[in-house]
Amino acid sequence: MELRERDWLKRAKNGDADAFGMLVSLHERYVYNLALRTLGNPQDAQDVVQDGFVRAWMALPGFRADSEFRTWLYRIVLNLCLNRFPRLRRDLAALSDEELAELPEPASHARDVLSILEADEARTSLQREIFRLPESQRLLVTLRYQDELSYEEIASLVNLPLGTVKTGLFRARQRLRQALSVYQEQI
Amino acid sequence: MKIDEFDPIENALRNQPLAELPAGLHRRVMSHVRLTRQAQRFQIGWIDLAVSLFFGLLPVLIAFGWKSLPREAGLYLNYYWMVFQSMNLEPLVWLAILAGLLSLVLMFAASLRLSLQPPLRSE
Repeated sequence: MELRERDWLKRAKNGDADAFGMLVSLHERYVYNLALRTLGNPQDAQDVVQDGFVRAWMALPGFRADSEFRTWLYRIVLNLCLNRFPRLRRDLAALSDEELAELPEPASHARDVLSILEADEARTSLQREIFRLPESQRLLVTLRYQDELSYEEIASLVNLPLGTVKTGLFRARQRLRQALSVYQEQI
Repeated sequence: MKIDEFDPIENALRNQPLAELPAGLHRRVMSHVRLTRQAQRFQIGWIDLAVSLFFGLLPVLIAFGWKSLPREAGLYLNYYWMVFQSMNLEPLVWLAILAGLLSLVLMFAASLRLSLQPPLRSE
């Protein structure tokens, strides 16, 4: 955590709403994107973001300074998303550890096939595919790649075993790889 | 995790564009935050109600308990009260009363300090 953020956090904990506003500015875009990608609906995402920040503000005096504010905030927002979307909790729990061993290592030969121009098009196509991933996988992908959280942080955040998180991410990448193969066959 | 920058999958995942924040969201969030803070300062929790109910009912409970005591128990208590009076423990009783009053004053001061917190800087 940056020194500046630490200072805002300290002031916000003492009831300084302006300092909390700075923390909101720092995190709101990421929090909004997390909610948007999890819920898939901009209106729901806005509601969750608003509710999440208000809850964070109310609970801030009890926040322990030794933990990461961002992870704490994500936990609040994620719980709100899961409350709105109970199926997601079940989908996350359904990602089992055992199946990881059955999944083959993905081939990374795609880069040899794609030219730079094609790579750009492929990227756009892949980004569309990311939105088509099942919600549970999309959430894990967002936490891993957008928010750059470690596997351990994600596991703690979504309350799942580490192996399950790895399986979910593996499956998401595999799904995208399959989509890329289909795309390559088409061009 | 090994990061392969040339792998199109990793590349697409890492470079997924962030959606723009909807206009006015920040303002809406902050206005809710400020309202919530103000409401929170004058909030009465269940613990406040429970404590006041307990202390409010305490004299009634004591009176009821005293009335419901069997006659023998009342006599026993009277006897021990007389023994206590004969022990000349008056200074000790005054000390206990003083300590009780002091803790009441301290609790009152603490509650006064909590309720008269300075207004938030942003308000």
